[in-house]
Amino acid sequence: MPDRGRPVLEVRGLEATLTGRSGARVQAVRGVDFAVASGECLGVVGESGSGKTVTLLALLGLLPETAHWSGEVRFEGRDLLALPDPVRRRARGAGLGVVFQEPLSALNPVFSIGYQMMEPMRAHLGLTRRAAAARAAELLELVGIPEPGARLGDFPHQFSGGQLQRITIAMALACDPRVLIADEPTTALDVTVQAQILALIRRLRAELGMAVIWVTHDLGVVATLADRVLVMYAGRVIEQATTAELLGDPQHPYTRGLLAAALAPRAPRPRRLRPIPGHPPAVAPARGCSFRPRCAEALAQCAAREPPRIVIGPRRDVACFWDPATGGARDG
Amino acid sequence: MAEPLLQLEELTVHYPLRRGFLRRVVGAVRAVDGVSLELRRGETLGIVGETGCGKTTLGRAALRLVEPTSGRVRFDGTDLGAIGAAELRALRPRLQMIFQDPGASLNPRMTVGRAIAEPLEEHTGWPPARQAARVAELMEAVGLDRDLMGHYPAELSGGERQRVSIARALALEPALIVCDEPVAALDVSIRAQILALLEDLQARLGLSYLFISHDLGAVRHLADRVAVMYLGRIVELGPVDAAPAHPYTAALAASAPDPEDWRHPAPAEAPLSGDLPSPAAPPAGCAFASRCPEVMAACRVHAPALRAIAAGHRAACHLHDPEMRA
Repeated sequence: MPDRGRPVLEVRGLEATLTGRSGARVQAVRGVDFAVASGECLGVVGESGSGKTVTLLALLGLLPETAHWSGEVRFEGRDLLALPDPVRRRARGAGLGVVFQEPLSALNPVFSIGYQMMEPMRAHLGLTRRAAAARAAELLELVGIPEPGARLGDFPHQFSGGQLQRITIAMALACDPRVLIADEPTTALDVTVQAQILALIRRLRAELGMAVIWVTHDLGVVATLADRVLVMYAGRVIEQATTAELLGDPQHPYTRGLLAAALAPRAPRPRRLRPIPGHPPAVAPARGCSFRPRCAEALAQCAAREPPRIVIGPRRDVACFWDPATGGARDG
Repeated sequence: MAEPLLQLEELTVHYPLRRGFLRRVVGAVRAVDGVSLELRRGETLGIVGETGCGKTTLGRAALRLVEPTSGRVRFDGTDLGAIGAAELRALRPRLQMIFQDPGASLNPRMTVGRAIAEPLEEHTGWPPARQAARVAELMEAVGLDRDLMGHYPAELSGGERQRVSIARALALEPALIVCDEPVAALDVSIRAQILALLEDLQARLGLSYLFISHDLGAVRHLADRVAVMYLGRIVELGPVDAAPAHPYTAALAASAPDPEDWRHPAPAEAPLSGDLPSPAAPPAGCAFASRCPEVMAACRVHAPALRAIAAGHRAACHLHDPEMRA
C-alpha cells in the first residue's frame, strides 16, 4: 500500500448553511473533519439530507453564492478555500477529479466527447491538440469504451448511460488528479456496469497512488472499495472507522440499522430486512441527538444534548452515548 | 394445482426500427422474444436483467399496456388479446403497476388525498364520503400519516411518494401488481421499509407481484421465484434460493455489492465485461456467448433452449446439456 502518513486532502471544521427558495436557512453541514492520504479510499456513507453532497460541494468551492460556510480545506498543504478564485480553480482543475451521479449534467450535448476531454488537458497540462487527442483515446480505452480513437468525434447522445458515466470518469482522470472525488457515480447504473467501474477505480488507486473519496449510500460498495468510512447523518459525522471495523463491529445505532436494512445478495438464504423506522430529518433538531426520533436505543441524555464525538480507538470515533457492548451508556 | 393468475405464452414484442427521411422500417428491435412463464396466485416472481434486456417491456405487455407482436397473455383465465376495449377497461382495476420514480408518476398538482381517490372516482361511482373513508383506510395500510392528505408530492420524501403510489395501486383491490424497480431510487433505510410494506400487503391481501429489477439483491428478499432475462429471452427460471445454473445469473449475483465483501480481497476484474449485444441484430447461437466466461464452440452456433435441469428449475445453457458438453 502507498504512503499513508501525510494526508493529501484534509478538511477541518467544515460548516455550511444553505438558504432555501423560501428564504429558510438550513444548516446542512455541522462540523465535518476528515483526511485522505495518497492511495487511500475514503467511503462517505449517508442518505438524502445527510450533508454528504453539500460537504463535497463546499470542499470544491462550488456552493451557491447564497450559502454561508466556514472551515479549512487543505490540499497538499494549501488552504484551498482561502485562495483567490482563479488560483483555486487552477489548483482544483489540476489536482482534483470530480464525478457526479448524473453524467449528462457534466457533459455538454453540443460538443463532441473528444473536445470536452481535450480542453482541460490543454488548459491544465499544456498538451498540444495531437497529444491531448492521443491521451483522450487512451483514457477512453482505460474505462472500457470500445474503439476509443474512432469515438472521440461522437456526441454524448451517441453513448449509453453506462458509457457516459465511464466517460465522465475518464474526464475526471484526464489531468492525473491526486484525489478523485465521486458522488454516487454508480447509483443509477446496472450492477454489472457498477462492478466494472469499481474494479477500474481499485486498479487506478493501486497503479497511480490516487486518493479517492467515494460518496455512496450503499454499504456493499463501501465494503469492496473503501479503506476507511465516515457515516454522516443530519450534517454530522456520526461514526468513523476502518471498513473492517465499521462493517464487522458497527457502533452507532444508525450504522447498525443501515447494515440490518442492507441487501445481502450473496447470503445463502435471503434474510428478512429490518428497516429503520421514520426518515432522515430535513433539519436537525434544536436539542439532543438528530437520530433520536428513529433510534431504538435512545437513552435519557440523548434528548438533552447532542452526543459529542467519542474516540474509541486509533482513528475510530462515534457520536453516541449508547454502548452496544453493554446495552447502556458509554463510560466517560 | 390451481390455475395460475397470469400466463404468458410465447410472448413477443418487436419495436419497428425506422431510418431516414421517410422513416422507413428497416428492421425490428426484439425487446421481448418468445417468453413463456406463469405467475401463481399470491406469488412474487422476480424478473431480473440489465438495462435493455426487455424486462420493462415484458411487464407492460403483461398488463397489455403495450401490444404484443405475437403470443398470448392470459389473466385469470381471460386472454387479454382477445377481449375488446370495454372488457379490458373492466379488468383494469385488477391489474396495477408501480414505477421506479413516483415523482414522475404522480401528478405534481394533485394532493395526496386526491391522487389516492382518483382511481376510485374513475372506476367506482362511490359517493364522496365512502371514497374519503377508503382513502383514509389506504393511507393507514401503507403507513402514511393522515396529516399528509392535503400535501403535494413535492412536499413529500421519496419514501412517502412511493407509499402514495402504492396506495393508488391498491385502491381498486388489484390481484396483480407489476412493480418496476420500485426501490431503485430510494435510500437504504427507506428501501427496506418499502420492501417490508410490499411483503406485508401481499400477506394481508393475497396479492401477486411481478417484481422487475436490475439488482438480484433486491429481488432475492421478496421473490419466491426468479426469471433472468437476457436480450429479450429468459435464460433461467427457478426458485430464489437455488444456486445459479446459468453463467449469466452467476455473474449478476457476483456483481451485486454485498456488505460482507470486506471479508475477502476484492476481485481484480469485474464478473462481466462488455455490454449487451444490440437487440436489433442479435448474434447467432447463444446471445450471451460474447460475454460468457464458460463459452464453448457450440454456443456460437446453436442457441440453447430453455430446458428443465431440476424440479421447477429451467436454464437455457449448453453447460446443462450432456450432448453439447461431449
